Amino acid sequence: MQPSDLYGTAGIALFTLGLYGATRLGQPMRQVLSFNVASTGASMFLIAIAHRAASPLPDPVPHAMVLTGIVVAVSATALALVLINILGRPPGPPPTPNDHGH
Amino acid sequence: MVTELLPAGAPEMPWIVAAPLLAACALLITRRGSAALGLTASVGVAGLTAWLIRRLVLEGPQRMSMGGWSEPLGITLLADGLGGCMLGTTALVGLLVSVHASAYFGPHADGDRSRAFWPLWMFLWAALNALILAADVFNIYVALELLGLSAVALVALSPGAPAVSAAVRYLMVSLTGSLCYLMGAAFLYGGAGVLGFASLEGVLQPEPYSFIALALMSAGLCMKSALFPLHFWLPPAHANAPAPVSAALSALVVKASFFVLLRLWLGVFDRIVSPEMALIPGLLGAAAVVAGSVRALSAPRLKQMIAYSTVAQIGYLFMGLPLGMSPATRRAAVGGVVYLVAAHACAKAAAFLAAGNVLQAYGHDRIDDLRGVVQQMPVSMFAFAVAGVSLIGLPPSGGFVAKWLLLSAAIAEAQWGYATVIVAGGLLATAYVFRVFSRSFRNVSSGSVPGAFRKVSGRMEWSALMLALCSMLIGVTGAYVLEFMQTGASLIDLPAPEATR
Amino acid sequence: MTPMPLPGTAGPTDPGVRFLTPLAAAGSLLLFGIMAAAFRALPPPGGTLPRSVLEAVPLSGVVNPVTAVVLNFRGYDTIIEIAVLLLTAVGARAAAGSNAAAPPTPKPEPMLAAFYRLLAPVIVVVAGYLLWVGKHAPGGAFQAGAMLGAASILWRFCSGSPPPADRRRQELALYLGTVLFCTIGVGAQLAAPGFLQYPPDWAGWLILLIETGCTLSIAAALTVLFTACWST
Repeated sequence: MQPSDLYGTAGIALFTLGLYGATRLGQPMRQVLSFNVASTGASMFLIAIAHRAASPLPDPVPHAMVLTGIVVAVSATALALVLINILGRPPGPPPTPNDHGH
Repeated sequence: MVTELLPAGAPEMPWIVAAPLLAACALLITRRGSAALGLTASVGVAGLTAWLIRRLVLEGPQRMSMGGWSEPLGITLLADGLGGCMLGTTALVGLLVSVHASAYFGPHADGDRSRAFWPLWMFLWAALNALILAADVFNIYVALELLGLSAVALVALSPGAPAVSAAVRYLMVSLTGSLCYLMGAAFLYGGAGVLGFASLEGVLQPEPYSFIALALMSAGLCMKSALFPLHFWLPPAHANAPAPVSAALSALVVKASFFVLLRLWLGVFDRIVSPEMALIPGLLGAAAVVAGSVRALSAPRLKQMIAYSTVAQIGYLFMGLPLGMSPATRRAAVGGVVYLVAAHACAKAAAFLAAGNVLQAYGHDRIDDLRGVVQQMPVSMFAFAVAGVSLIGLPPSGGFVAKWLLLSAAIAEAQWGYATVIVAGGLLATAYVFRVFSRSFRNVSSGSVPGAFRKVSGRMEWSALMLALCSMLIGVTGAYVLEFMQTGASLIDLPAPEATR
Repeated sequence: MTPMPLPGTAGPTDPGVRFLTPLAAAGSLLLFGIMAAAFRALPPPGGTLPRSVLEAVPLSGVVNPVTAVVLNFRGYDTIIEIAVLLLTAVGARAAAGSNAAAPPTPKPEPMLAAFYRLLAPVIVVVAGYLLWVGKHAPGGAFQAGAMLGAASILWRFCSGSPPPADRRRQELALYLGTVLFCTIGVGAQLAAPGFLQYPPDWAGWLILLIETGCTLSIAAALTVLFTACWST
């Protein structure tokens, strides 16, 4: 068994673990953490795919996919955390009469 | 395959993605006049899209390699008839939503929320265009993320806990969906070794990895399209967002991920999918129609009702997948689906804009307390009525053409279950649309009004009406639209065109 | 106030939990098994794409294959990805700003400030090196941007909110990357070859220019995201 098989399977395990957490855990913070675990799993899986390639160097395309995936995951996590932070604040003043928000 | 023989050109293709991005950056620095700049940018993007569609009509489908690198090295964009219909819908609804939004964000039009809306809206539009043009599996992933995150950010613009809570839930579901899609794409690359549609079409064999890829990518896209039972995030998000945002979300955002699903099922995974597999989205879609319509009947608020109606109408789209499996009915089914996307986009956007007008005029949108609104806001309620006609599916609206096509496909295949659901959905839609109108005419004897009335800007009312009339216009021009949709129809293999009406 | 939990996840008293948890756990294990089996059953890698990418790298203007893919061959993906980062920064600030009752900014820390005076030049130099070395070795805009972002966030911890003049500069840095990327892309199209098609002689320098802009953008976006909830 190649090393890439081990990493690939571990990546799949992390992915399913994160998926389970994201769907079953109720608190948003835990869902965010689960999403990060799953995202790391997907990245590991992609790196394993890159290692399998039949070329002198590892395949750069999955590496590019992982780079992009990490940036996107960081952005999404940050947005999620800001929104969760807002939810945890005490309620603000009631909307003014001429601000029919919705 | 077919895509490789297409002419390379159409400079508008990257511009309709780059222009909104640049506009968003410009909007970030403007201190005042962001509404004017945003509106100008919207007109510009809509104009570029119209120019691209004109080129599609005259010259046929276009492809373009980004960076000059052809597949499989680089990324290719593809604009065919199907994509052209989606782009046209996006441009039309986008423009009128922009008109509405320019007046919606109040007398304090340069306030923080208004200034934040325009850049985010431009990002959303860029994401939609990028997604529709994409012909590369990973490009779709990045565009999906841009779409989902900008939608969430727009929902979170509305002040108050319900909106932020809905935004958080939407974000979680959206991210889970994207992650499933990414994993599917990883399997696809691991097995096939390429990412572009042109390279993948006809190459994919029914091996374990392709089934897994199909399942994961479809699951992710179904989550993003709010297919029953993964629809729980949609009603709170669409009901609590600001009105132009709700319109854009229901009309365009949920359809874009469905469009990607359609492209994948009919194109890349053509040899993998089977009628048995299509049963899953078909049955779930049927359940969505019934469940969404029933919930709409009991929703206390107008915007909630419209959001549940979206859940129901999305069910029709997914029912189109099993109906499109066999070559005999593929044309009718795909035609119906695309028609429904266009007609529903206009009608639903009109409905949400009208509801937003009501909400801003009276401060609430509880259906039971809306007696007299028809007399006080005739334009908005007329827009809502016309939109309702399309949602129900009465001729000559676009909704009617769509349902007719789907129904004919179902009957041709003797799929009586789907046919019954389509008809039942129309009846239920009648019920919830009429429910609104039964409570909104003035009670002559009591003379009650819904509440303190604040006059709403004319622009807001007329943009809603224009959208509703567009859904009618789409129905009337049926033959042309369907013919346009067939251009470059690598998805819809047809021997010879036949009349559909 | 916490958001309404997803159905079946509210806690041990939720009637759905007893039934759903073992079901979900079994489903996850099943999914893992299926995916792992499919991974094992992947056909042997016969694709020519990796080899053609490696062969095309000398044409791309850089030496590092990953940088070539990210910024040249699949540069269009990177434009959208930078836009995602910018979008979340804008969206996070807008959401935090439109909701009242923000918590107060953390107080400036003198110990950290003293250490930071030693640390900051090192971070900037390392970030610059990472940006430059991306041409030949692993490195580039994202890594350099992350380091600069860390430096910027530490600075905010030391000194609190930036004055309004700095705010403008911060905003400028935010969208510099996107604007640069898109402008070069459109410019390349107007100069006849195609969107984002760098002239081969200039490719290396254009990529460096884009990466520099993106580094500043990434650093600014990370800072905005981190401090979005701090009251201004």
